Amino acid sequence: MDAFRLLVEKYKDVSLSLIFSIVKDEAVAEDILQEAFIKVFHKIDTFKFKANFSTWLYRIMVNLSYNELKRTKINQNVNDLAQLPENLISKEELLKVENQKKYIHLALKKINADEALVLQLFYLSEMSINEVMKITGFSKAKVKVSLHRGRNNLNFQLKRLLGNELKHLL
Amino acid sequence: MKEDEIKKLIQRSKLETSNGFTERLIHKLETQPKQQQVSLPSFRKIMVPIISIVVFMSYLVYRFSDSIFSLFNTELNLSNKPIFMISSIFFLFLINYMIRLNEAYKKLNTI
Repeated sequence: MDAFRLLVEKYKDVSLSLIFSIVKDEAVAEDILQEAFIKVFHKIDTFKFKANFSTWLYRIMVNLSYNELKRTKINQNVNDLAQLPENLISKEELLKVENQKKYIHLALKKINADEALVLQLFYLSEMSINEVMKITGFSKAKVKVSLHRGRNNLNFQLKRLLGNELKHLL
Repeated sequence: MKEDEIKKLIQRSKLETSNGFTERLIHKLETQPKQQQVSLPSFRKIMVPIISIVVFMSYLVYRFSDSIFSLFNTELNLSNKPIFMISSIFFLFLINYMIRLNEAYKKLNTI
């Protein structure tokens, strides 16, 4: 159990970010994460050491997230701007890490699930294109297109949210 | 926006689980009753013999329909009707088995 605890500690945060990129809800993402780790615990004997463990693990996370997305049909078009505090778009406020995170999450919420997932896998988990293909089941072309569109859409959404203050975020 | 900047932004946005997530998970795993191990043969492995049997039965129906053949010096008139009925029942049984097997697999995958 101690070994599994270490494994959870190592992968939980990145996995949560991956799940969030699909379901767009932090609480739901954490529930799926817990469910996924329980599944991993019971199925760990089926893991073949030919594959990379993180690839296998993230594939389970991604499959469960897409299943949940299909099952609940989470409304991704919630107007999140209403959740923002007033006068937040100031340089001082934007310099706070928590606020930066909040805006990046809002922008990621507005992006298509496939694009957000590919962005997270490529830049956060630092997976190669081939590994992203294995985890998502997308073709090479789709991964590359999603990556390109994801970058553009993230940029667009951040500009829409922050306007000229975007430069303080970078 | 440059690629490096996108990468930094995404890495900065990494989410963190709520406090005590790992403890709750471990507690749940420790208190959860052990799941029953259900061992079922692979669906594909089942499909191959089933299709083979169905093809073979179909061949028998075609080959021996309305024909007469001898067995232990006794001539038998093998009408296609009983063979057709037997093969139909057998075929329905196999379809039923396949559906039940598929349902069992779905249940296993949702654990």
